[in-house]
Amino acid sequence: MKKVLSLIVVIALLVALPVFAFAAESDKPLLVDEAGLLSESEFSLLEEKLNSLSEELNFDIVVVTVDGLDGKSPMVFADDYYDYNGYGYGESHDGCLFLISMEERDWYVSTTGYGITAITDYGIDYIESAVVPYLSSGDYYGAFNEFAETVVDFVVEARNGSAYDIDNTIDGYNPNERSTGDKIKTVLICIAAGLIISLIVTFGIKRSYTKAVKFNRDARNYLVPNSMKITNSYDNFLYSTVTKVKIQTESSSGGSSTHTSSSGTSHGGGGGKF
Amino acid sequence: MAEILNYKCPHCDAPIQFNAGTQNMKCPYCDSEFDVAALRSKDEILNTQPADDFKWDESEHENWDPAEEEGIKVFVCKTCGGEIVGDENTAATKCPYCDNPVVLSGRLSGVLKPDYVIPFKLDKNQAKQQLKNYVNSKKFLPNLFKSENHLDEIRGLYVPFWLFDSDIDAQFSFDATKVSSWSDSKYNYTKTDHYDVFRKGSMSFENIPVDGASKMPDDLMESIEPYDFSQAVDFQTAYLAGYIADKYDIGKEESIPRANERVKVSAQDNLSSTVSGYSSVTAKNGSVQVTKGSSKYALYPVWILNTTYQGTKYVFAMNGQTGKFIGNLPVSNAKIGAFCAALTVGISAAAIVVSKLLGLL
Repeated sequence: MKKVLSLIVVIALLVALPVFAFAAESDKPLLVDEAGLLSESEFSLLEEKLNSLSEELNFDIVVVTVDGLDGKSPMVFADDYYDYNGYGYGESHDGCLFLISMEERDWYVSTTGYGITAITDYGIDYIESAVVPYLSSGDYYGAFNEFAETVVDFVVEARNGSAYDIDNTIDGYNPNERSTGDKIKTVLICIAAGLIISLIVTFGIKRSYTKAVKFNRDARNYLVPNSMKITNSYDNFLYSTVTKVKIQTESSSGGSSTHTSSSGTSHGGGGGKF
Repeated sequence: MAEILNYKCPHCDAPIQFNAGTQNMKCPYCDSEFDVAALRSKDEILNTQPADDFKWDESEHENWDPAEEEGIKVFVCKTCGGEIVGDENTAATKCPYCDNPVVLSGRLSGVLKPDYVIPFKLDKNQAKQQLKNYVNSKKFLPNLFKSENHLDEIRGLYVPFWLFDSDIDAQFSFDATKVSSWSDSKYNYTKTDHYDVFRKGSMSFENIPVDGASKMPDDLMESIEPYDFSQAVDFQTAYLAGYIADKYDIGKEESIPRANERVKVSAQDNLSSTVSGYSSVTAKNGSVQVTKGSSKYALYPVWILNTTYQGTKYVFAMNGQTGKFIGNLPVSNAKIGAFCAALTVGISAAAIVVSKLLGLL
């Protein structure tokens, strides 16, 4: 009888365990590798990490890889994926989602709730500088690992007082700072401009010396004053052309810029190509 | 044989010449001044006297080739009796022996008598001074130019000009655009409206000068324009005394195209200036019709100064009426090179500072 009882308990536990385990990790996986970028061992290591960090922070850190975006923009796809799968802690759905689409090699970070506060536009720029090099070199595991750790750092810093932003930088990182190569290029352009302008001026002066004697082009000195009478004139409109140029986004004054997704939730974030 | 004319002071009989400063004839010896018109009567009396006619036995000498002879004329100075050799177009010069001014009146009686003359307003010293000012105002001359460059020759010259008056009709078509721009939150828009613009009008030009002397470079003569024709007077040989005067050797018909060129450019400029309110105006095509054209023949005063520097001749011209001075000059490559280098450093440094201020560095 005792044996039977313990068997029942064992069976009950065996049946219930996956249910408990599933419930503990919430009902949606934090790592979705549809594009198959990770090996099995990498997948389980990373999933473990995302689960424990998210639980620790009460802040979902989601990583999604897909083959294509079904014609959506990376932003819309990431926002919808987050909203319709019900990610996020608490009423404000605190969390963030890192999306990789292999089709167009897009990456996008969508932030929600406290994620918007913790991961500012400046933070997105930092993530780009820290994570995208891994993506470009094909080290996806390294990229997601770096992303997870960076987000943890952001959330902790934000909870400690103020989020990383242009006035609270990470090791002095400045997204608008130009690389040494760009700086050298700018200096060379300055010198070239100086040389070209000087040559034009110099040749102008030289011409005024060696070619001071020249023909007059017109007879303006000999026009009888007020002798001109217009006898016929017309101004006919022919056609119009319109060109449009996308406005370059100004460098931000800090904070996070947000937009509203199709489900009505407010999101922040940013992305690009890798 | 042409008659040689030099004006003699009615007072002391010394040779006299036109004075640009006082605008009359002045005797340099007894300081008497005479009105040009008054001297003219004397001039006319002189004209009634027969011209000298010297016949030499030329059998012992080699004769001039007819082509050469064509261009050379010999005159005799009335003051000292010296022979003056001039070319066909020389009408007034100085006797090389006694340095007195002579007018070779026969030269001017040729094809056409000038209708007008603008008398010299500025004299030889003012021309020399202007040369000095001109050279001194130039910072990039070779250092040696001022010291080694010496004045070879300075000549006061009455240059023959054809003056063209024309009333014209002109019509031009233009492509014009109006550009407007606006923006919304995502894009800057630029709209360009294209227009076909037409202007037709009439205008008049007076006294457009065209150099009638082939010896004078046309560009040099155009460079010292303009002359104020309101100061022109009816031609009298008296004004020529003391200066060289040339007769035209480029005919009126050959000179008209140059006047037309300038008229067409001005016509386009003037019509174009009435096309307003556009962002850009480009002339497409057009034409000019002269409805009334007439011409005059006049002598304009020019000072020509020749200098030599390191074996190269430099020619300067000064407007004898306004003092406008022009001439090509050499440039010191070392000086202008240093200037160019300094300017490059300056502009580059300024550009780098600006880049820094804009956060590009």
